Amino acid sequence: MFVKSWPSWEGLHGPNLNYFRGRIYKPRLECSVEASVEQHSGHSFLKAVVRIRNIGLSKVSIQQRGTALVIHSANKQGDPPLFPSEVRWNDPVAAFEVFSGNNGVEPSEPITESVMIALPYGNGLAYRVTLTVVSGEFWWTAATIVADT
Amino acid sequence: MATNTRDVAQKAARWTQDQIDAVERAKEQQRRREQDMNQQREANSQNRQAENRR
Repeated sequence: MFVKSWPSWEGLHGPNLNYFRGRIYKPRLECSVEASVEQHSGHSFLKAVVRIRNIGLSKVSIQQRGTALVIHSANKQGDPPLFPSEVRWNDPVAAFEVFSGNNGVEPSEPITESVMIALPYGNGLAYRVTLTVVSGEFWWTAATIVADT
Repeated sequence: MATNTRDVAQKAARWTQDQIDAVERAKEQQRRREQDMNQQREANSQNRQAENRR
């Protein structure tokens, strides 16, 4: 019996498709966050500027679930340490929605948002400000540290 | 090898999901706090108005 088997379309082009998917269709986002503490009328405000830019070749959708500007405060120890030690961060003390007006970013498109956050009076803590952007199974973060002096 | 890769992928997916859940919890907590603060402000404002009327 003569059986002629043809390679399947997937078998023939699978590796190429995976290559192109990896190279072209993988969403790529550049995230950054800048933060500063400002004083206005005797109150401290944390000003954060969040930026994303699509550096890939396809549109990246922004999923609101998980996308946020998250703030952690430094875990203040009772006494100063006897030697330099890494600061521990408390659980998120606050989280704010960002890019809620955008459901996606086109290739090469930059989006910038500013967030002004009133800080508790007389706090004097250091804060870690983290931007998290989620798109399906992908997610990106950027963080910076700022001190309320 | 394939099992390891799958395990790592599953762990990564679970970790990502945990992170997303933590962010969502923090957002929800923030929403509730702001809501409470606004209600408190509203109540204070109404109390002040009532006192002014008296």
